[in-house]
Amino acid sequence: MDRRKFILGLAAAAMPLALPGSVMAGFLDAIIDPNSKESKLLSGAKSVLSSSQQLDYKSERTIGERLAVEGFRRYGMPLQSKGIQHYVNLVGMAAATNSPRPNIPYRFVVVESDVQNAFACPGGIIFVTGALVKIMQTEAQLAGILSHEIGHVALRHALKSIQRTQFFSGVGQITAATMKGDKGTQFESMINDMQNVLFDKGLDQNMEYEADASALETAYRTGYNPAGLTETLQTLRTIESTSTKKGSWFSTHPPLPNRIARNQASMKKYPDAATLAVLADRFKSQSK
Amino acid sequence: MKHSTQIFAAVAGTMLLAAPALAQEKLYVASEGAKLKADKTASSDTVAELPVGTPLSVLGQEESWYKVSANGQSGWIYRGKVAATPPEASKQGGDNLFGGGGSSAIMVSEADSARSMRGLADSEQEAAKAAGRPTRTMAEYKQALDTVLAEKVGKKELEGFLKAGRIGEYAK
Repeated sequence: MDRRKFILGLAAAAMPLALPGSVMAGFLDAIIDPNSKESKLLSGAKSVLSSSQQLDYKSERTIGERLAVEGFRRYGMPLQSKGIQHYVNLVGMAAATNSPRPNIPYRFVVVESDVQNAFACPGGIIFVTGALVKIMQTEAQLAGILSHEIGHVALRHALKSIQRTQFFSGVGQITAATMKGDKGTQFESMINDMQNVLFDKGLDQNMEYEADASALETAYRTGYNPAGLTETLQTLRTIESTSTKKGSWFSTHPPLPNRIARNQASMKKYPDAATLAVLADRFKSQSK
Repeated sequence: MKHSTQIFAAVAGTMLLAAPALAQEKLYVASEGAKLKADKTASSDTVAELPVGTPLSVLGQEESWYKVSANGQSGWIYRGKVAATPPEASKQGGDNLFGGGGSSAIMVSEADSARSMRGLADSEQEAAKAAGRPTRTMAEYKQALDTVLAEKVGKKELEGFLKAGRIGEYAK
């Protein structure tokens, strides 16, 4: 697509829901001028959008499933209790219906691990470790953490982090053919990169802040007190000095004080938060 | 801040700035399973189920409910089910939230051979032994994944769960 068509297309898509005609005209003039600030912003957006939109859902899910296997390998197998697995899926699905991407089949799994962490595989398979569930006290806290991970899936953060790897050049869809030969090797190398990001290095800080903001919104829309996420972060902060860091929430997420402060500042958007569901008793009885 | 993140923030910011002006008159269904109710309570009759992306004309707002009209019908919708802009889902068509996860697409033999190609299989076995973890085969991991994918939550069950917890539109 050439640059001008892209800009016009984007503008046309945004116009009916965004701005009244007169304002829009000024905006259009600004972006058609190749030297304007707006135009420069949008030409950068073009490369980001085209690379993240190449992949169809099935391919995204294939990557996610492959990564989920690495998740079991790295953290542990699913907890045997059917009760807790189903409960976590109910809370997760309740949030997912009101998330920015409500139309993909999410799955949630609690794995046996002493390390506190949660992460999301592309396509919607979401992991939370037994150790992280153990430090939570309410359903709203669980909903907050799951909504944060749903946010990463909805905003395609893991994929965006590794979209420049060789595997994605010329691949729009993952098929049996792309899993073989040179492409197969590149696929495995891409999975390796993604593991490195999700399990060790962590996503870009801004993606974490974005997922937090999305989580507050999703929890609030569902009807849970959005303070649940921040409460879990606060508990993590109290145990930080005595916990395993490698492969944990501590080593893969931005410093807790920053996030806690940001989330607390965002609470002013939710003046009636304290009246929403918390559910400490149900959590206690179901999360075993 | 990364360049790409800056651009995204700027684009998202432009759209957010534009939204509030229209929030009063026009909203869109943004959640799966959203219902148009006869009254501003979840226990009232369901007038219609509204798919994600359905445009709504806002007629009024009381407590946590909007009075709206959609496709020629009017009724009430819970505030958590709407957004000022249609979500990405409605634009892309997408899959189904309540759909089956199916069985995983991982090809055991290929994943195993790809790993051994990288020479990781052996070193992993050693690492597992050293850490006192049981060594597992790819088939065991695949089975664990299939169990996770088979875990399904139905629409009715989810409604019952929200109702029992008095969550969202079931709060009162």
